[in-house]
Amino acid sequence: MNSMKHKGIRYIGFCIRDVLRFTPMVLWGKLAVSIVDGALGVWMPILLAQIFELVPNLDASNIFLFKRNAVLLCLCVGIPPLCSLVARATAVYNDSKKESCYGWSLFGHAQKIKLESLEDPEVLDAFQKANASYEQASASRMLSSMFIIAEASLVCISTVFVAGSFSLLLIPAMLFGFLVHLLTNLYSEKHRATIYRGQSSIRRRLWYLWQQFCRKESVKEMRTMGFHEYMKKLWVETNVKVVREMQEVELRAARLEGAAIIVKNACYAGNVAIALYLMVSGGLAVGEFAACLSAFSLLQAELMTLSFKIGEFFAAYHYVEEYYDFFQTETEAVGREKYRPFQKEISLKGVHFRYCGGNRDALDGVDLNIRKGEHVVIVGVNGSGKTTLSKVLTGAYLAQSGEVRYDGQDVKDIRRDDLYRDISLVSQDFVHYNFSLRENICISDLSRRKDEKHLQEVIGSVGLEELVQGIGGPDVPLGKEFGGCELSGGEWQKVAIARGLFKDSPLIVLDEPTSALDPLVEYDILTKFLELTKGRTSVIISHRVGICRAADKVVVMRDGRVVECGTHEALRHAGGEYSRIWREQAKWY
Amino acid sequence: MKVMRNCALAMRLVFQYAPWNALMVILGIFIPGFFGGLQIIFVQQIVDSGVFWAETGLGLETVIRSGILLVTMLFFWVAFQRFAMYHTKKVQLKLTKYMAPDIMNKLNNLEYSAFESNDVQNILQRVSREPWENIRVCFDRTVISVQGIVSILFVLGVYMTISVWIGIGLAFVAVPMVWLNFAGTHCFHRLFEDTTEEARRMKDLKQLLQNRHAMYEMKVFESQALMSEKWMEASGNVESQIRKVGNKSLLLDGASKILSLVYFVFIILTISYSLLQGTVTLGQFVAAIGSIGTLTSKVNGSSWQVTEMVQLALDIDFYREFLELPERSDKREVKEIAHGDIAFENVSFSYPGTDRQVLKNVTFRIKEGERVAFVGENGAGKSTIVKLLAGLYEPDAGRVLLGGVEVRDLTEELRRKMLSVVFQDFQGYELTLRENVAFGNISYLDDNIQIKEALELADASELYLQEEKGLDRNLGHLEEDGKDLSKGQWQRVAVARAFMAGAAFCVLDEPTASMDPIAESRMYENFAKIFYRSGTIMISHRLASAKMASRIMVLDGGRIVQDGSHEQLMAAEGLYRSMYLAQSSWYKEDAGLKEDSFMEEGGHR
Repeated sequence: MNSMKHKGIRYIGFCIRDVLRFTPMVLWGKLAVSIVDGALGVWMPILLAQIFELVPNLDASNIFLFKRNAVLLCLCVGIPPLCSLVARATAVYNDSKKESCYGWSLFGHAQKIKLESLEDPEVLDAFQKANASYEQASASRMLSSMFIIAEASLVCISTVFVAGSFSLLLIPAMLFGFLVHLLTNLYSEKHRATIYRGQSSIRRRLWYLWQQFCRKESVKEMRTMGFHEYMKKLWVETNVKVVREMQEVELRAARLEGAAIIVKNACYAGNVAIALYLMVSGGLAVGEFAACLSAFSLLQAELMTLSFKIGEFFAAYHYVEEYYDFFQTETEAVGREKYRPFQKEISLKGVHFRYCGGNRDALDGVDLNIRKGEHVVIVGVNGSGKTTLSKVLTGAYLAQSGEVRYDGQDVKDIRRDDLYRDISLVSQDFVHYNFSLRENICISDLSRRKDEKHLQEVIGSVGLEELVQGIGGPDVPLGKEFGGCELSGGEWQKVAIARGLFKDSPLIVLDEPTSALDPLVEYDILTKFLELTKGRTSVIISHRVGICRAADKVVVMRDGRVVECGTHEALRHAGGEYSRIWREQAKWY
Repeated sequence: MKVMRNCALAMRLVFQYAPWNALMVILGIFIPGFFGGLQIIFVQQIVDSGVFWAETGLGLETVIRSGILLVTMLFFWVAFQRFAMYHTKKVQLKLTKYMAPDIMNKLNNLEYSAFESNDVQNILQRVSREPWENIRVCFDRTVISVQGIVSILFVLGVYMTISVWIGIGLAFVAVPMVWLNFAGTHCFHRLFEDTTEEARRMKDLKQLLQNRHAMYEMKVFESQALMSEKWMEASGNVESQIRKVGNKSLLLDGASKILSLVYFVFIILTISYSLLQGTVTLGQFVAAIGSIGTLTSKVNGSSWQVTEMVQLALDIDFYREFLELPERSDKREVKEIAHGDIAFENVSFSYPGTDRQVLKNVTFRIKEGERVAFVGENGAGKSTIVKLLAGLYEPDAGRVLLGGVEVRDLTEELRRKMLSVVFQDFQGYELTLRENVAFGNISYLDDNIQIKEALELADASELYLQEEKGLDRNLGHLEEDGKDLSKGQWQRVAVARAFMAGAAFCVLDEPTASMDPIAESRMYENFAKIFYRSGTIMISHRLASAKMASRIMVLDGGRIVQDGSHEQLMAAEGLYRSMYLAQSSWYKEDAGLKEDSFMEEGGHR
């Protein structure tokens, strides 16, 4: 991803492409406004010069010309406000569209990236930045400032030439002042952006530390243990570094730009002096002299706009980069083969898997067979690779070497959506959707959303009937954030299990689904689960080895490998890892 | 009005933390505000005296003097702009330097209930995102908008010296224009309030789509369609709301623009007419007409600036509310206590803003050094007891006593000496391992022996033994060489933290929930070790751990329903026995204890 940075112009291209795709009106609107504004900006000094030339010698012969010019001037003054109205309308339009266009485009892409990338903090960081970027409408802001910069530069140059039309002597100083101003501005903005980017890691730390003061979980600990002062010190010390660096940057920018201002103003003073001299010596008429003065001050004003907009451009450009950089994240490979529902077994052979940035294989050569209709329980200590195995099994992670085959069909080649149609899951960190209870359950198989009977069955099987009645039916929204019903941790867990069961798939994976339940409910649910999934293949990951007794096959994992595999009875007397875990846990009861 | 008050707040805060720079910003922005008007006067003088000189050959010095004044002014114009910009940046830096620590102090003094309250959540969320930037931007905008208005009025004043008609025209235009602008910004204010619900929906969806667990579910369940449907619905709502308000404000804005436009045309025509009549000098004409373009763009910009200012001012409402949040009572002054008993006397408690009583008239006494376990179902009130003990909340009725003194009266040091807590939602900090452990007792930050001992007790020595940097290794992803720990490892770090404190009581609120069987049982062995060092209060729904306590209290529905040792409770019929049998049945050697038999027992509750 880093290699993609600093490819300059291409981001502007991306921006224009997207604006054309999503909101072409915005681009045309901005362009039209800029062209009209620019044209008027160029025309205005010319028109003023004409008027001022005319005025000192007004007589009957040119009174018509004067009147015409006055009317034209009214137009010149009147059109820009209308343009700005159009500009504002495009801004409102763009603002209203950004979630459905830029937002969905970003989050749509996020759904396609490889699942394991989401474990990578770098990717997550990039994701967040991209999100912040479009929320600020950075693409549209960048284009606006780009157009305005072009427009203001054009006006500056035309002003220079208007003055030049009176006397060529005025051109060099004006042009020189203009260039010095522009270049120093560009340089110091660029410098500031570079330093700022260099501080990203230290700023992340500051941000992180600051968060700790606002989150209840850490505040609770800070107060009971009393390390608040220490955290504060850390923040302040880190901040001092950032502040010092930024102070240097600002001072440097101020000095540089200060010098540029002196040069520019010297040029300006020189020009006024030259114009004055020309007038005194008769080279310029009084009207022309006045026109020169007005051109000079117009130039000054435009230069101020210019330097302001250049700053804006760089800030927006930086955000735009962050938005489009995220689209470079690798997407998930999607197989082409049609999936044939497996009849015999799922087999894993020599499967290796390593997370990005990890220093060891999370799966280190796993061999495993799961026959259709089996209840398999995977046990093992933390970090032994149980969850990773389950994700490789479902094809959500692709093994780096080795193969996962469904009846001999390699998971890599199977069309992903085809395969997923046959898999259901209850994950360890199941999701609380702030939707209705029905949606929370039916989300696993949206095609049966309307199947009331099936829904009631599932609700009954996990013991949620009472709750459903209590809250007033399955269509009541959940989650207190939006005024819905709040469920307890255990109730949510039941909802998650109901979700997994609702999808009537041949294979179901349960990852530690009962950790927040109290013993009675836990027991109840696990037994019922085995009953409910009779005839289906199920893979259960659990810390509680107790469940193993009811399983057809127990798989024991350690350090990313399958160390034992067999029935509970066989393994318990084998004297291996399994019997050790069993004893460790059983001795407390 | 709210806007005024908030602007004043921003002013006050900026002046409090960076008075000198704030003053410089104001000067740097305000002084050039008058230059637009002055420029008209100078240009007029130059041209008029120039004409006079051309006709008579007299008064060249006036021309030159005005020319010099004009040049000097323009020089300062740009210089002031740069000057103000520099000081703005300085204000920004000073606010992070001085204001941020004050905010931290305020956060630390807030009542803990604020952190768990939903209403305050929104405020805290804003505070968690560099609140000083909001203050600074509001300050900036206020200064710029006020300056904009002042400078426009000044320019108009200068115009009036040229022709009174301009003043009369202004009187006609001003009232409707101000009204239109006000109505326009008011519109946007409404937009801010109206979209919150919809905007929160969007935010919720975004969080969902950034959650890797949700992504996994979505892929497998192919529920993208539903997500996209929800997204389009929410974004559609936001969109139509923005459109509606946007259109209205555009209409108002357009009306005000046309009004101003009519006025400018009126100015041009009046002045041109006056020139033809001879009531206006050439200099006046040139100066007025020459600057009319700048004036229109200023008026154009200022309505936008004021809108922006109003938005920003409303935006910092959160900060005002933050400052008004109640602070903790400052009574904590008892430095010594006679004994080390913990006691609850008729304690009742419900969380602020809720009706449900979580604890109902709870009374118990725990003697110094005793090992006690609280068990019960989810929501029975176990964790609430911990929060009351730690002084995070105060009871509605009754007293929570440490050594005979109410918790809220103890000094923080003394309370810490009495009590260390490992919470259920314990935290891992993305700092060094050393810091993570020493947070239990920060005075031991450099005491390697203590820290290593604590890690060993928590069975987490491998965290530093195999590492190159030892205790100073970075945890988490903040630093490049940092590595994240698994949840179980973090938990052990949290437990080590509690050992560091060396308090009279160690409170463990379900600390083994995410541990694997081996780690869990080792942890219990370690608990046994520390039991000899201090009293222990354990909260758990895993009854194996409770069994190790000498006394078990069973909570149900906010009351203590059973109290006694494991043996006593097992001998009696009751909640404890049924829970215990349910759990232990998995591990019984003979599968003879049939599932049905204790289902009956479980069923009788």
